[in-house]
Amino acid sequence: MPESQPLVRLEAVSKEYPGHDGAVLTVLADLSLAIHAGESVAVTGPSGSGTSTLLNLMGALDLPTRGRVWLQGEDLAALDRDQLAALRNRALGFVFQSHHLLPQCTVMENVLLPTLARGRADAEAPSRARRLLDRVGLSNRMAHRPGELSGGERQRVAVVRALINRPRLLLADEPTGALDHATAQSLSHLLVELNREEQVTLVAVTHSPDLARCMNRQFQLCEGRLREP
Amino acid sequence: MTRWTLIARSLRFHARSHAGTVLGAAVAAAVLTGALAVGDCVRHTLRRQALERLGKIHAALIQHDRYFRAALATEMQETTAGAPLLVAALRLNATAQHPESKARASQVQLMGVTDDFWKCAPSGSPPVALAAEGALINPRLAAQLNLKLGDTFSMRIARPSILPRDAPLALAEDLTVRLRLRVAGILDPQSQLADFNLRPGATPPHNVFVSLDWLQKEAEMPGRANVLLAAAGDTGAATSAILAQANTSLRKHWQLADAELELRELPQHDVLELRTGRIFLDPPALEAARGAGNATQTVLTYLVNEIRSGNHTVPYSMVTALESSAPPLADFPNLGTQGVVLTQWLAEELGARKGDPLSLSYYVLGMNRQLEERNATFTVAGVVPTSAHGGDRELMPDFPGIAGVDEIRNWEPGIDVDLKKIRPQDEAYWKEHRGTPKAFLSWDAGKAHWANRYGAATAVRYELGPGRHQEIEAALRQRLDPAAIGLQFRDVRTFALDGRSANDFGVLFVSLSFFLITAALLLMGLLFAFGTEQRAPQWGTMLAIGFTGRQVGTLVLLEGAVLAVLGSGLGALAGLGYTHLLTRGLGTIWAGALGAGSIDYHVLPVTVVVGMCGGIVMALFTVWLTLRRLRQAQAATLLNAGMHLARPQPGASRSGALTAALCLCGALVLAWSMKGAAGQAKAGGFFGAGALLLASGIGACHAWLGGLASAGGTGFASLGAMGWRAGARRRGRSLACVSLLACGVFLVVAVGAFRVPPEQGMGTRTSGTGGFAFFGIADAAVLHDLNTSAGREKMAVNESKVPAGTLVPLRLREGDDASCLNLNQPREPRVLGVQPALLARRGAFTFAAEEAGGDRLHGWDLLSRRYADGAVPGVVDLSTGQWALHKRVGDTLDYPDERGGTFRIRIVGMLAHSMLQGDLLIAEDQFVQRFPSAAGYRVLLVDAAHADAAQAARKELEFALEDHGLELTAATDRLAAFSRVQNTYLDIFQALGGLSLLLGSAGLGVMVLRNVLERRGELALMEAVGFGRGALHWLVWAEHGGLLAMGTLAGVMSALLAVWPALDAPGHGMQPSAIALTVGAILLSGMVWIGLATSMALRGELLPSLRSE
Repeated sequence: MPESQPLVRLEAVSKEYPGHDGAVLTVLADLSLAIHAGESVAVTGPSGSGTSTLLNLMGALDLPTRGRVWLQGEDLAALDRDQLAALRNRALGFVFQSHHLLPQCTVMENVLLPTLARGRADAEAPSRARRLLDRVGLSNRMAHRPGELSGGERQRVAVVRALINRPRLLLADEPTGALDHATAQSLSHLLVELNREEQVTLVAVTHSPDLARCMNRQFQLCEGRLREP
Repeated sequence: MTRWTLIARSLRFHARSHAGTVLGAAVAAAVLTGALAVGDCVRHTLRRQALERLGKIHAALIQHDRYFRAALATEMQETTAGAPLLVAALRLNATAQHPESKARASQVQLMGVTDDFWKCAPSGSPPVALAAEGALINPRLAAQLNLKLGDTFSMRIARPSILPRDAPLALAEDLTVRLRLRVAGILDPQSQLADFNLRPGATPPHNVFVSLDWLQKEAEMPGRANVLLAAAGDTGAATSAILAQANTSLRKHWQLADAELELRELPQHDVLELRTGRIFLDPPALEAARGAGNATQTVLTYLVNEIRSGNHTVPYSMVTALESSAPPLADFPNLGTQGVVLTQWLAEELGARKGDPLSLSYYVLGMNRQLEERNATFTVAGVVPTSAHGGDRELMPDFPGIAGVDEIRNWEPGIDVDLKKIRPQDEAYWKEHRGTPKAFLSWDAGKAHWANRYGAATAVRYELGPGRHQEIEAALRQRLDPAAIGLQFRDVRTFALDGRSANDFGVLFVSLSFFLITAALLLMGLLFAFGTEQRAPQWGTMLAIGFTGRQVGTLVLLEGAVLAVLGSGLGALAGLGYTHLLTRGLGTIWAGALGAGSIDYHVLPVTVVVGMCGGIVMALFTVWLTLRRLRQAQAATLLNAGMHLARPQPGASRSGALTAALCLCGALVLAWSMKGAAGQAKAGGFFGAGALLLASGIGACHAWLGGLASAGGTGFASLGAMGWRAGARRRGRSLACVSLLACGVFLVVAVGAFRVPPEQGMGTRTSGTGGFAFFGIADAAVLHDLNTSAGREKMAVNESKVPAGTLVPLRLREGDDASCLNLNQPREPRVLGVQPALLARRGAFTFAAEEAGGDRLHGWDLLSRRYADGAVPGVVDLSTGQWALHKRVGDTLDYPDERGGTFRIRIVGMLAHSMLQGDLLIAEDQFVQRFPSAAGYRVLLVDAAHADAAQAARKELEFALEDHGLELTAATDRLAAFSRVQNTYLDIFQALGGLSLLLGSAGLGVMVLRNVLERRGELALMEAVGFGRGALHWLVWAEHGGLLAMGTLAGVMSALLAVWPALDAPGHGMQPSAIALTVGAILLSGMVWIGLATSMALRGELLPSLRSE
């Protein structure tokens, strides 16, 4: 993909859900957006405004009702479920408001979980996992289980898990939403640093002005449309 | 980190929630293994019983009403290594009685044996040397008569006769012999062949073993035997080898005497004559004899009652039919079938000359020794000298009661002879010429008048000459296949040792346990699904980070597979215990299911493996079903809300309502259309209507829950209404619960409709008793028709107590008991020969199915049909046809006839639940053609206008036919014994069904627990806004109690419709109290589980849940 092309491009995207008594609920309306590699983008908006829906569309977790989503030059609508899964595994990393770590696995195992989806061993993955965990300050917690970690630590593990496959795009959905202010701020900085260090494009949906301010670009989602503040 | 590491970690971490899944799989596998293992137990039991009754015996030659030389066994015995041991025995039916207590045992198997017989036993040595009157008995007889070592007892046997008792001129007097015996030993069933029997039976026979020599003497059958056994020698050869060797040796060594044939030289007539003690040569023997030499003469000599010419008569004379080429007919080439040649003596007595008409009157054989006098007119073709070739007194066979008697007035033939007709000149003739024929016909004419089911010739003659005897004998042995007269060994072991039962009990119990297995799997699926749903965000995360739906599904499936293997493994082992319980149940409370048998506990390792594998497959299938939604779920959905936030689907409510309406209409229409139906058809129709009503009820619940789910309003009328609305949130889960309960209640209650009430319609013609009061079976055949005055007089039966028309006599050919009382797979069911008109006239019994052209009440007429392929129409009881013979109307089965051939029986009708279960009925005229030696009637159906008359007839018949060993069983008792088997299977089904419902209600408890735990935050909120704990309990109760009530109500209502005909029938077998108890137990169990689960879920503080929300 030429560098001049955007990494993610949304073209006249709409997302609608069936409402009560046959009514249609429009969450995203004719929305267009282009994000280039290396950028960091913050999307803010009130609850229910469609921020998570937007992130799901960019992350190939959902398809728009109308319009198109391009990721790395590929039209997501043209891909089947398996191809979408492979794309997510190869090019995307997710961080959610809840860490969604597997409680039965250790920190290291949780981090390596995405490599398992490839079906073949990645010899470099463990060393990369160790390096990243060391980078986020969890080198001494690798053998611990999620239940033994604090909220901030769990979220950092989730960030490392998102980066283990060297994604081009890191999508974070309210990554600091469940954390206290100090921990949230720490995680915000970490994400921005990693955006730079790992050359990963970052798109974060957040209510946190602190996190939003750390990003290159900021958008506000209101009534299904994006606006730059 | 590998896939298996992840699975192992998950299994360990979620061990507690997986425990329920493992338990569900274990229960399903245990039930499956246990059910299959019952099949093992039955097979093992039948095999053990077969070994006990056969010992080392592999093949047997069994003659029905025919006898061969006992010496044949010795002559056949080869001395080469591996040669089978051959043992002859004389087997007779008998009745035994204790002289003091008068305890009686009928259908006793009396075996005359040599010491060699005991070599067939596992012990291999004679228990004691049998002296005259010494008897070895089996424990069953000892128990029946309370006999101990040294006790004496009496037996009465049917006197064997080489000449069939129904044959013309056969004696019908002095038919039984009384024996006095002393118990010389009580045999051990395991080692001493105490329960010897060549046929599989529901129970071991009553056995008595005596010395062969002594029995031959007492039965007046010197040197004769009717059973030849081939047992494995020391080398223990295979059955096929033993069978082949025995038959080869038989073909090599058999003699004409073994076929009851005699080749004798008559030098005075310069002939060699083949004749038989049976009087009439069997057709195969005749055919072989006629081809065995040149210039044969076929002879048929018959006793004619009267020879008349004009006004002159001569009584009781022998007339011989010969081939025209033989002297003295050689001089009358144009004799034809109308000519008769007279001896000089007869011509003079009658004053008859060539060209005069001459009439013969003679008896022809009816069905049961009834002799019908007929006349035939001939033309005198000539006269020959009395002392010429016609003076051959050897032409008369040895008619019993006639041959060897000095004077005619001393004749005691088996027919009525009016001795007043005998004139002095007749006596003089007899004194001088004995049975020398007085007239001659052509053989064709003789055959036309006197051939009967026993044969068409009394002798075949050959020219005598040097070496002719050996030459003819060799030719006869070569041309006559011994198998054609029943001299053939048959394999009695292979099939028996297969342990094959009439029905595969493994499959049967799997069917009976089906609902229990389903309930266990549903519980397992429910628990697994709950665990899976709980981990929905995990699956969502994995999908989000690049796992495909298939990969996630495979991971969960593998996790489920480990649980399935673990659960099924444990279950298969637990199945051994379950098998113990089932076998114990079959030995006690469910003993009726096995008829008169019992089963051993014996489980094959392979069955445990099969049970385990079956459990794994079922559990995996269940896991796969629960995973279907996971495979289709979106990552975002899973991450945000799990799999269960389905949006209301108004269409589902409409489809539910439509289904309910259609099924309700169908149920009403079907029930209405069954108004005029009867019996099983009505029961089946109402069962179908009930099933439709059940579907309607479930559809209505579906619609109601759908309506609740999509309903909106301004508030709730009550807390209960709010609970019901909650039940609609997880509509699939709620509907599964309602359906499970409804189906379970329906099946458990409604299956009672098929219970056979013991007294239903008893005594009516269309009932299973056919309206008969008693079913009787005798050891010795009754040769006379007790419905006639003459027959009653001969049998000394009081006419006032057994008036004409009281009895329906049936002929019997021994065979396997094909009733449900016998666990063994029958090969040759017992055959009864019936006069169809006797049953048709009464409209006795009801046909459940019949060939086109018959009807439910008069299907007996079908027995008189004739088929182009020669098949004989047969009727069986529906249960016998379906379960024992595995035949339907129109199917055929090949059956061995008396002469070693086979004939085809076509099933033309099946009786609805009758006391004739276990037997195959064919028309009597067909019976006597196939089994001519099976004389007389051994089965009697006793009819009576009322109970007192029935009792009077019973007493009279038991008294008059005591010597025949008649045993009368009340028809109702006989039918009830069969009903008991069917009802016990229903008991088992209902018991296992009830158990599965208890398991189902446990599933309801799990669902409650799950629902409440999922909504703990919601309940915490309600507590926070002021609802007390009591109100919260009621909320949960209203929701789940409502589901319990809906399911039970739908099941009960539809079941009541299904069982309506049974409830409506007087004396029905339904037990409302049992039904109420079952339903009550289900409700109670459900309520207990709901209560327990609610208490567990609401235990502790709820408000922290609110904070975590």
